[in-house]
Amino acid sequence: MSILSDTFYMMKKDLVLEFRTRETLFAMGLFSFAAVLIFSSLFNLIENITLEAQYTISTAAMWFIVTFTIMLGLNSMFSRETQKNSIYSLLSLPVKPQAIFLAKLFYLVVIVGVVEIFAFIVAIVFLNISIQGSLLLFIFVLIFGTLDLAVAGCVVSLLTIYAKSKTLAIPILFFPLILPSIIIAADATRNLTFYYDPTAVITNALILFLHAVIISVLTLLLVEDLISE
Amino acid sequence: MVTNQQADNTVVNLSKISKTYGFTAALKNISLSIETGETIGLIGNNGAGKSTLLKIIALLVSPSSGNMEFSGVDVKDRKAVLKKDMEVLLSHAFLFDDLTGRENLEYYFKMNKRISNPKQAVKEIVKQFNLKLYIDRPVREYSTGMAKKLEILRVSYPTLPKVLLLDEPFSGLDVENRKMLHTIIKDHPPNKTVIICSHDFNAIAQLCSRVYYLEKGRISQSYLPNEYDQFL
Repeated sequence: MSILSDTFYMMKKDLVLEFRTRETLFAMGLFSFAAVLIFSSLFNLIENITLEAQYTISTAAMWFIVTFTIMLGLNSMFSRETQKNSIYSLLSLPVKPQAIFLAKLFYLVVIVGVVEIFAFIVAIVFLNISIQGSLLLFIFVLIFGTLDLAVAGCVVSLLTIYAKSKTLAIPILFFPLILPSIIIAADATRNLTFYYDPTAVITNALILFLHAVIISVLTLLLVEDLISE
Repeated sequence: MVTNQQADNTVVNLSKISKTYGFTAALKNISLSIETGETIGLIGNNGAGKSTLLKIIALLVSPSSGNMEFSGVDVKDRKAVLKKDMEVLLSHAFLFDDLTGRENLEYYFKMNKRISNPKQAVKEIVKQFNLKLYIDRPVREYSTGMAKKLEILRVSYPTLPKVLLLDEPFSGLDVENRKMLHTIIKDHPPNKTVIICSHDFNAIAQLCSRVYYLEKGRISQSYLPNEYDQFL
């Protein structure tokens, strides 16, 4: 059995568990919905807001929501293995540690993806965002941005796997790692939705992709040390 | 003196293994050689280091220093491959509460790679152990005894792995499961090895071909069956 099939079976198990209980999905969905409504109501309170300001704040809000949605997902990443103080159920498997990292990463990307589809429909309706340029480019920015944040989140989850106070450790490590990515992703989305500057969008999307690849490669090289007690 | 034949039979060889957690030394310079076919008992009071030693042998925890060989192979770079030959039963269940018994067994059989057709194996288990009423229910609905039975089957079906590691295996077991596990350990094939860790000497002594007594992270005594009276 290859690393890919190991990854697939571990990811499938996590997704089956998540879609059965829907605990994390519900929390992420509810947070996204509430956040979009709050930003939407704020725009209604401000008089004479320019379209540029509205788009700038909306795109920043969009990535703010994505970031915190991912953070909600991070808490549950290894919780099924650690809830009974049994990370050993994962470590006892005859699989390469890289498969564990990839399985958790793809699991996070899938559940965040599901929430994003829901959240963006809500955001388009309530925040009144329209995409001026290519929808395909928008999807690329969204995928690369989410992938980048999810990779960083996975690394942080691995680093804090044995931490006693995860709720404190995760934000401390996660935010410095993803801050440049959020700025780039928000800039790319603003360029796409308001200015429509495809060159800038593609450059930003590539930076996000490269950032995700670099962190992934480094993690794949170090994952064995990160995961072992 | 160790003969060539004995050396070839060695399945686990620990050399000067130490483990520290922060400033606390859990194990200090443990050297131990376990041969194929043996049933080894690790006895000691709480905090003696027996569970840590078991987890190091199971490749779940890395030692702070020392070397470990599994069937003559240094474990450092081959953990994933070597884990195929091991199963471990810890006091914390590995089963996922929101999966059914069937899904749990199929998942572990697929991942552990000892069984070529996991679905068929689970069907056989259901038939052989009369689990039809329980197997498609989520594990959270199982009684402790039922969950433990599934855990025992997870590590021992259809045959034992090369090395079976058991941490306090008899605690919380009902009579039926105790009997089942007792039979599995006692009748294990000569090419398999069982390592049991417990604080209760009486619970495991009659099953073991050797018992090591751990004290403050060191092996302080070892006993053969004819020396068990000395321990008591």
